[in-house]
Amino acid sequence: MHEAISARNLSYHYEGADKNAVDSVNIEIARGEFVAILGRNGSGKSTLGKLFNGLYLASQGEVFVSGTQITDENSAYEARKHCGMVFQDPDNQMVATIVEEDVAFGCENLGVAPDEIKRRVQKALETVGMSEYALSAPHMLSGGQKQRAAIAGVLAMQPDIIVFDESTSMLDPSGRRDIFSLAQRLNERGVTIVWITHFMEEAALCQRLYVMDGGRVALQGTPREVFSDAEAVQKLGLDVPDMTALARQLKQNGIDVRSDIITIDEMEVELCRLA
Amino acid sequence: MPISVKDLTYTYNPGTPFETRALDGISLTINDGEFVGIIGHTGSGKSTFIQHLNALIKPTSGQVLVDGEDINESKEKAALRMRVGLVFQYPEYQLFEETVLKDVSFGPKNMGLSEEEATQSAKWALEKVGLGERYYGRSPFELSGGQKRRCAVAGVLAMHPEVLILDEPAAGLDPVGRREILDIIRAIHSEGTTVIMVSHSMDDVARLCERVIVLEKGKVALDGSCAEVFGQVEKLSAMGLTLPQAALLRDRLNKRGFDLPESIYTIEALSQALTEKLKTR
Repeated sequence: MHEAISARNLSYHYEGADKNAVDSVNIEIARGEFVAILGRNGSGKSTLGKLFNGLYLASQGEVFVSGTQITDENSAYEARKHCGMVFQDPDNQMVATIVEEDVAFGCENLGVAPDEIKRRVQKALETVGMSEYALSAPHMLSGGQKQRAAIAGVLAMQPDIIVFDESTSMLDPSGRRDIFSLAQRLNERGVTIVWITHFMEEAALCQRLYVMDGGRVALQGTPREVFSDAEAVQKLGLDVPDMTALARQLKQNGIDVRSDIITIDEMEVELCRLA
Repeated sequence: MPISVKDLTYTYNPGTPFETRALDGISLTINDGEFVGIIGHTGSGKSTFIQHLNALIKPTSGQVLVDGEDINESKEKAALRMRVGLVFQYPEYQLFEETVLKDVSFGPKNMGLSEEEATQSAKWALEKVGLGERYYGRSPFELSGGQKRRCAVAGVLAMHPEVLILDEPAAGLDPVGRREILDIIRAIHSEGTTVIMVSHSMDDVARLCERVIVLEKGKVALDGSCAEVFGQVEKLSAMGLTLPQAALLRDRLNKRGFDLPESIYTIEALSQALTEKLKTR
């Protein structure tokens, strides 16, 4: 079976730019994985996400999405059926005047039959917990609710992969938790998730990380592997999770604490063991 | 220049089915040189509150006193308002001029400063936010996300406010951008400006602020030092607010018998306390 996403020497060049925004990237994301892409602003992570969804076409190299190579508008259209995308700003993604119509929009563009659309929209709204807002006006929703509606719109297209491009960065903490755990639930149902983020606490909960820098993959591995090299991570313009920072400080103070801690749960267990 | 609010109440859409009391009888004083964090759930009234402090919104009832004067009744309203600088959420959306220098000069020019004085003020403010001479002639739209944010903050600083209010100044930035903007705010405060910062990030508030005001449903739910407020684990959780990571871990460890001081809310303080505890064993 083919990978969910596979990129080989993938490059993208914005017109007029003096270098590639994405530069010879090799990435393999297996079906059912939950992978985070990190990197400072301008590192190329959003551009990469858009290459996975066929919004941009590769300048060089190859990208396969669910086995389809994206080479032109036609194959991009095909790939988009498999790979949905949720963006950063909840206010820039709503096109209709009521939620239900907004959720149906993508499906309608795919040419799905009306009865089937109705069924899918209902199901998608149910999945994201927004059924009671089906007839609401988008502007009456909170940021988190708008993102859930946007996700429902993507789900209605029944993708195998969803790319979230900093989809929690404009939300408050409860909205952020809400959307992240929704992505986790979708992943449990088999949807491959590509999670582009600036929040290290979210990255710590993903299965695998790619850290981008200057258009290239600078680091990759499990969160534990990546964050264990705090200096490298900071050099790339990122932070380590607070608990990793605490573990480092304790270690420097001569406490024999495990150095690969990334979550608060792990830290709690470790400190109880030491006490 | 202290700011006091007395029994401040504000109702959105009065007399309609959408009537909502956003602020409900708030009374408090913010003194010179304080660094105050305002936290609370979305919809708790934070943004409505700060917009009252420079008279962008007129209270339904109650008063806002700036330097002892009711800002909404004062004959000097315009002048008073300029002493309270307000940086909105995502302020970079309001950049509009052709060049960075022109954009930042816009505020002081509107205050009635001469072209030359306004430019001087703008240059001073751009220096504060780390945008040197080479940025003066650039279009603000060509800047990176973090630079745009800093440019927008400079636009308010250029008016030399005595009180600087910021609504979620670090939202949406990458870790480097966050650190830069927060360092700038810290520096501005250390030079004597009163700073009021609305934030969803408890960790940012814990790192920077001296005093924290927690709003809930338009009322002041908690008001005190960081140590006092972040010690109130139960109350904050009941309001659905997260604690700074260090305070959260301190609380969990205490439930397992660690007996760490309730006043701990930063990673540094926690690592110190844990070191002492674990070393003496």
